[in-house]
Amino acid sequence: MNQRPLPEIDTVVHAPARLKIIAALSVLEEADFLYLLHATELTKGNLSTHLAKLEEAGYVEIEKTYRGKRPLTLCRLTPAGREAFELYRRRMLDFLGSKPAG
Amino acid sequence: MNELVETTRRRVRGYWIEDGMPDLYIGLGLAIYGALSWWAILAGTGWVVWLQSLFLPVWFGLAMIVMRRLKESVTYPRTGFVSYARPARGRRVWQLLLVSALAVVLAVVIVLTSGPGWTSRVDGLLPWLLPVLFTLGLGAVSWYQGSVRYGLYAAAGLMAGLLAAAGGGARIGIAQNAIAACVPFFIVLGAVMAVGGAWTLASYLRRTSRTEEAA
Repeated sequence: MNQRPLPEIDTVVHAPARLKIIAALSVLEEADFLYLLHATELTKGNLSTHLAKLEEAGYVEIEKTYRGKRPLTLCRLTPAGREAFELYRRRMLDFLGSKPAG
Repeated sequence: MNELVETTRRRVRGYWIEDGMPDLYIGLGLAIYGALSWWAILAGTGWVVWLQSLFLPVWFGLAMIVMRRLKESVTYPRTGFVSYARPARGRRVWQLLLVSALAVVLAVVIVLTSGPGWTSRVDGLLPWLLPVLFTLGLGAVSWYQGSVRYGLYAAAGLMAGLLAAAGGGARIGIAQNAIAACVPFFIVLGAVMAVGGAWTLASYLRRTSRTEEAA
C-alpha cells in the first residue's frame, strides 16, 4: 500500500482547544479573556492553562491591564504564532487533500 | 480539523453582529430616511427637505462612534472585547481603487447606453438597482459571517425593493422620481432590520449577563 507519511505537526497548535484559541485570534488584532471564553466555550481553568502553553511557546502575547476599574486580560497572536498557524493549516490541508477518498 | 478552524473564524467574524445592535441601528436609519423622504415629497420644499438630505450622511457618519459606545457599555462587559485585524494598507488602497473604478465604469455604461434623455432613464433604473445593490451587500455579510439573519434581510430587501420598483410607489401616490419610488423599499427593509435587530438584542440580553473578568 502506497501511503504518504504523516506531515510533521506542531503539537502546540494541534490540540483542539489551542487550535480554537489560535483560529479565533487569527482573525483579530486582540481579544480579551472573556471573549475567548465565549468564542471557544472552554472553562476558565482550561482556557488559562492553554493560554499559558501558547504564551510559553511564544505564539500568544498576554497583557494584563485595566479598563476603568475592570481588570482586562488582552491576548494577541504573535508573528511566530501566525506563522505557526498558517504552516499547520497548509500542512494539514495538503495531507488531507492527498488522502484517498473512502 | 479544517471545519473547526473555519467554524471558529466565522463565529469570530460574526461577533460584531451577534448582539443585533448594528441591524437595529441600520434598520432605524433606513426606516427614518424612508419616512423623511416621504414627508419631504409631500411637503415639496422647506426644512424637511434639508433634514432628509442631511439625515443619511449624519446618521451613518456617526455609526462607528455610536456602535463603539454601545458595545463598550452593553456587549464587551457581557461577552468580551475584540479588536479586528485591519487589512494591510496596500490591500485597502487596492480595494478602494477597485470599487471606485467599478463605480465609474458602471456610471459610464449607464450614460452611454441610455442615449438622449439619460437622466430620466437613470431615474427609472435606480429603484431597480438600489435593492439589487443592498441585497448583494447584505448577502455578502450573510455569507462572510455565516449569518442566516442577514440572508433573510437580503431576501426581504430584494422583495420589497422589486415590488416597490414595479409599482408599489405609484400605488401609494408618491412615485414621482427615483427616490420616491425607493421610499417603500427603505421603509420595509428598515423596519425588517430594526425588528430583527431588536429581537436579536433582546435574546442576547436574556442569555448573557455582565461578568467581572477573572483570568
